[in-house]
Amino acid sequence: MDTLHRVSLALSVFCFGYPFVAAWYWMTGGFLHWLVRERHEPLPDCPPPLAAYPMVSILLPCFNEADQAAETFAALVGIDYPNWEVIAINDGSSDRTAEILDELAQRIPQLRVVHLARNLGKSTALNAGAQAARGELLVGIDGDALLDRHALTWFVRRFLADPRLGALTGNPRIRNRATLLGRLQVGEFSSIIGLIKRAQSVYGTFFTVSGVICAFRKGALADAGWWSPAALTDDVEVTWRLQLAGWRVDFEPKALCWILMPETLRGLWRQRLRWAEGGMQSVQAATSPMLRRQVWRLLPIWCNFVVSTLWAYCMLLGLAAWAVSSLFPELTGGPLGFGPGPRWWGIVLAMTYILQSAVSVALDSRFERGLLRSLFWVIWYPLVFWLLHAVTAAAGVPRALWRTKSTHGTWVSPDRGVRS
Amino acid sequence: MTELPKLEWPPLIAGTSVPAWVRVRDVLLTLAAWLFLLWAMRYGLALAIDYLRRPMFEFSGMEPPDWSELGHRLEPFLGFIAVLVLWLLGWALAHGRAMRVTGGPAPSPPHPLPPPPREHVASFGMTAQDVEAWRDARIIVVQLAEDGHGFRGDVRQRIFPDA
Repeated sequence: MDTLHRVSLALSVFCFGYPFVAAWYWMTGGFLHWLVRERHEPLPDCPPPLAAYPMVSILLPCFNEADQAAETFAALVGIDYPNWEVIAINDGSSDRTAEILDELAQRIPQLRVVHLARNLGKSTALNAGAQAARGELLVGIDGDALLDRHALTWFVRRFLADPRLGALTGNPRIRNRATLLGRLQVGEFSSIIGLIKRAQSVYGTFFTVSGVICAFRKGALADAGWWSPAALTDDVEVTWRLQLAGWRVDFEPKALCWILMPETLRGLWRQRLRWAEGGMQSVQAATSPMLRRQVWRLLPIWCNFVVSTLWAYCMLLGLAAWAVSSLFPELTGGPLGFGPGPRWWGIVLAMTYILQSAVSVALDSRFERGLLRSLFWVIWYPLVFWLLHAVTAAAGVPRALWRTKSTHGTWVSPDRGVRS
Repeated sequence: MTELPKLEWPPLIAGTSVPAWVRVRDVLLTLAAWLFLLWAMRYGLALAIDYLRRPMFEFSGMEPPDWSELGHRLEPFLGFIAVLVLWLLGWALAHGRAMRVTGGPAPSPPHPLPPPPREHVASFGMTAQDVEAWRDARIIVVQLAEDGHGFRGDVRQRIFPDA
């Protein structure tokens, strides 16, 4: 076997092996998390009484959210927690957001408004909001997210129990499921993201909290240096920063939040490209402090990120090699790489993924009724999302490496899917 | 005036505005994808059916597969998985008690105290008085300072105007 074919075989083995091994790792982590933490917990609708109810400040960055604001605040006024405020940060919106927020502030006693004079990005908005916050516990949600009425109680319960806990990530659930893309993401948030968070919780370090629903101890943020204004993914960046400063991050699956996701390919592409670019940017920034301060506990998460990025490039290389060798077999001396058609390893991977989805749906079904139906749509996931992940990761890395360091991390939200 | 709508909970969007043909197309395409997967797995399925029909738990109509070949192909991956599962199991055993939320005393020593407010707001070019004013405000307009790092706030409305 010549070198070219050996490299091609190694590429195929790696492209199959990484998601296969990772899937079993995540399933084990999910099961262990359920066994140790979730099994005896109350249902999300029945939080137990707390020993204390400290003030919680909800930070709500808004950039052109005029269409979403009414729904977001309709959910917020239903919050079942005795001591809270919401700080809406208008990040230089050009629509009617400022006007709506000022008007709502006169009617909702818990609402306070911070207007940024121009669009400076989510991280800067969060930093400004945090300085105005009166609570020592901060909960961050997005301008189009609907917070569950008990989410604050679940977050506070965890902070009261563990003084080293710096941040918690909640459990985002997808609202819009009208199209194939929407339904696919319902499965994705359970089967991939939910399981990864559970596995990371067992190990004790996180790649990221979910920016759309997360909570922080203000002192921990101050200790870690707040949100970086240049970050494209404020959640990834602050998660690494907190853990580097020695604070614990964890997952609270009962803190629910209902979110909108893009339902067009263009919107999904833009969102995932930003995630890939921001993830790379954050990991790049955290690498040197991690090595300098010898925070080896973060090394497995760091390695997983590097391997998954490498996998993305290998996937594209494998597909390209297959295309070239199919078109010009005389040049390559036989088939190289791997095609999109199913072979034995493709089938093993598909079966593993379906099993993984079933495990995660079983774990998540206590948070959302009728989740079992989402299994019907997961068949598309390996094809659509793995390929999308490969392409966005490959495109995001160079964008992150060449991005100007001082640029403010601003972006426009993708489409919010079908709304009725 | 902005009306706050009454929300159904959970606030799912079923997408009644999506045309019926789009829904039917999505269902048919997804069914076709499942059928394709089943077709790709036809040999494995036939084996399973043969193994499970009478006489049960033996291959009567098909040659049994070469399990050693499949095992040989998957061996390195299964080894990796075993190591990682043991590693996770170790963490779960070591930290199982700490992972449970008891509301009791913290399982580990508390983290060193964060910097006092005066120090941490200084990173935004603010003073303790600025922070007090911000925290009493209902509406503030914030500018970025000339150096691009600090905040300058102009309180437009206070929470308790007469205080």
